[in-house]
Amino acid sequence: MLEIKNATKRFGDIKALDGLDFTVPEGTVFGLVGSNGAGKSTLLRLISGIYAPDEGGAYIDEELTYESINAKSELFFIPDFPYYYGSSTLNNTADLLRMVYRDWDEDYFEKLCSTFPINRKQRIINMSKGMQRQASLILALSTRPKYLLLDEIFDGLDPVVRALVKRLIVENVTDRDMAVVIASHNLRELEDICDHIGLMHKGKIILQRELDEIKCDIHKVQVAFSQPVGDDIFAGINVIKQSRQGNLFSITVRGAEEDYLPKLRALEPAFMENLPLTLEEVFIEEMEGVGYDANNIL
Amino acid sequence: MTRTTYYDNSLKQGAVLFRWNLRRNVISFSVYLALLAFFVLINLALTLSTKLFGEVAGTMLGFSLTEMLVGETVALGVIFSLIFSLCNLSYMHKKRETDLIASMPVNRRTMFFSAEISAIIMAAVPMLLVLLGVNILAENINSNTYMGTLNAFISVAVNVLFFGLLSVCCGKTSDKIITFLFVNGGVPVSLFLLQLIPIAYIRGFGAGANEKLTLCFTTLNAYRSDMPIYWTLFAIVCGALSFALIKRRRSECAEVGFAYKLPMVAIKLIVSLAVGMITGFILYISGFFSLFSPDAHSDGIADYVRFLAGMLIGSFLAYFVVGLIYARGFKGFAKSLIPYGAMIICFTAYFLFFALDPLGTSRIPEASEVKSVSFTQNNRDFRVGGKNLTKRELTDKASIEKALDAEFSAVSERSLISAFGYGFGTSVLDSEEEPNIFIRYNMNDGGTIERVYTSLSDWSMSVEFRDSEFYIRNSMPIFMIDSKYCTEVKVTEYDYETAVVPKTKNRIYKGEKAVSALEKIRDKVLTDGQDIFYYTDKSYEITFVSPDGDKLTEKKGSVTEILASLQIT
Repeated sequence: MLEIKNATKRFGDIKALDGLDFTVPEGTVFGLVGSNGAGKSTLLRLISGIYAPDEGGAYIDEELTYESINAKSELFFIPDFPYYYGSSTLNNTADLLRMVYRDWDEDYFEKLCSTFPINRKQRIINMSKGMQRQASLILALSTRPKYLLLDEIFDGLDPVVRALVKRLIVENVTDRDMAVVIASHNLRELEDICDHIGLMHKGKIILQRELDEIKCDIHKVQVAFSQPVGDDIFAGINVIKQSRQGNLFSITVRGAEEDYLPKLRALEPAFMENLPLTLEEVFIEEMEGVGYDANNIL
Repeated sequence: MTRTTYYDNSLKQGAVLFRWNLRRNVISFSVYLALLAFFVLINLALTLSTKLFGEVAGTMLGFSLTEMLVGETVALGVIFSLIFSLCNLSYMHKKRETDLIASMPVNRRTMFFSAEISAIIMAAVPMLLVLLGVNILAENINSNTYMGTLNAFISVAVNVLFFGLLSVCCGKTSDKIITFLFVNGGVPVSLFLLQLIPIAYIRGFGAGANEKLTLCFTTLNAYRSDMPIYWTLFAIVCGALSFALIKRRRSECAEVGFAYKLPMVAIKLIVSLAVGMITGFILYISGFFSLFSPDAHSDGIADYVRFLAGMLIGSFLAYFVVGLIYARGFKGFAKSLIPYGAMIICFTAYFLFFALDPLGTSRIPEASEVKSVSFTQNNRDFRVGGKNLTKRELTDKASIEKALDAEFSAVSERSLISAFGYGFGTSVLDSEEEPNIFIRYNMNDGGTIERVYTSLSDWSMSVEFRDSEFYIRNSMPIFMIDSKYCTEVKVTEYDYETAVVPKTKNRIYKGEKAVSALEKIRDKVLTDGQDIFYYTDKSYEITFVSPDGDKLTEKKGSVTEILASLQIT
């Protein structure tokens, strides 16, 4: 189990991570979302043992990942801009990794090389961005990591390869109980693959729940009244956002359906409809809740 | 699952990374080999063509070419060792590469030292093979060859490990290179100038800046400095510091500032010190140009003020510029002035200590205060029955007064605090080729006063005093050592007229003939002065051996040394 305990990281006066606490169980896909500069990449670097924590840290089976050969052997981190040497090919990079990662799987490497449309003898730096990410993923999965850390992995992948990547991740999660932490701004992709979501802002996790739970906890409802009503008609209901056009209201409500629906019905609306919220909308709503003025930015 | 070769042992992992580093550098390594091959080929062709000059001249020219090839090979080895080190440790200075390397399950120390060792081996192995090959071809295999080869290896190791230590301390590659160049350029200038300040003020304080001390941080000169033990220790210290610091170095330092700021602060201070002293001297020289005024150099206080003002202006500007280079801006400049201020205070104290001479170390004693006086040329010892024949204590009043008169003739004033700069421009790096004059007074009160004068900075003294019979008989080993201990005299004659390189003829005298030759040389020296050893068509090599086992050889002239090393008789 990957545990983040009171993880704090400072860069000079800036607190990039501010006492984070959460757990990534085995066999789960944890999506990290958040505003720019929220600390997602810093968190992944801290988990992968690149950055030393100032306080707390990331632990695998109670062992701090920083400077731990054992813990790092079970991790693989693909950063947002993976680095390759000028002469690196898939083959010669595999030569290095197979000797430093104890669980390197040669058969799986061969299988992945034939699955992805990639030339393993071509210099990786000459490949397109998407192909470079495929190369990274092939190498990463061949090390058979127990914890795979991905930063903007879907960036630059075409829809077919994107689907392939998602399939491979899910296969590894279900077959080997691999845990995945994905940081991405592509909420649509995360929605497909993640079962847990952590929402970061200014170095803190402001929301961390199962995806379904998040979606069940926040709702968008359209309500229309036949008679003119005041703006405070929804008092007593946990409305976090409200807009109106005449007598037609669009409200975002936090809480379970069984809590707020009876209250809304009691207001005797002429029309009422529950609308599905995408993860992106949930993200915007939650971020606004912590003072991130999405409307002004948008 | 197919298990492959995995090493969980640091040593084996290091070997894997070592091989990987070799593979990474295959292009630069090929360039290195090609350049080595090119220089070997060119020098070989030139050496073969030297037969056209005749046997002796050809041998000398061939020897020079061999020396040149050795120099080129070592220079290439050092340059490429730095290139390999730069490539292998680039992961410490590139954020993206840091992500790749630092997330791998490899110990930081293993990663660092495998990179360093592979840089050393890649540079040293071809270099050592060429050096040994050249010496075998030149039939020049002796203990010096092995020492030269060892020095070359140490030189590569020193540069790689020092460069590696700077990698640990610096976040940016550019800062690492700048710091390396500043250390190799700024430190020797600072040390040189710092040594010259007391020499400039206190005549007889020293014969010039000490070369070994001046170049003790100049790693690029490690091969030529002939201090293998010092440089070995230097390399070990660099390695040990890297070993200790690498563990605490933060990965986020890559591309950002410094992991450890001490080298940066030290370099800023050293460079500003050097520039400050140079500026101070320039401002002082501005007084030199008003030499037409008779009082130009007598206003000591004005000289101090001029020098210190120049020092302050130059050092501050240099500190500001170097600070800008390192910080890429003005951030933190005001705070960084604290060590600068401390440096200025320390330097001013150092300068005034020698300028004002509060302890009176520059005083020439009165004859009545002196119990005995002795001279020693280049501090060379020759003991017989435990007594050092090259250190003769003169206790008679006449000798003491002659020695004191000699000092007055050089200084011409009671206080040795002369106008600043008098000895500065003429002071040179200490050299064993120059017959420095050491004078030691043993005082009646039990104290001693020692003086050393070089023939260049104290020319007037040298001409009048150095060639006097009194000084020659009491300072030159060939006069002070009894002729019965002379075992061999070799006289080499040069014929400059007959060939591009002078033809030489050697005569070796042994036994009684050697003693007879020594007497003739002594007469010649007393007649013509010590200058007969220079710029002449004859060189002398006189060897004395004492029953105690001490051996002293007077050998003058570089051509003689080359021929002697070739053992041409």
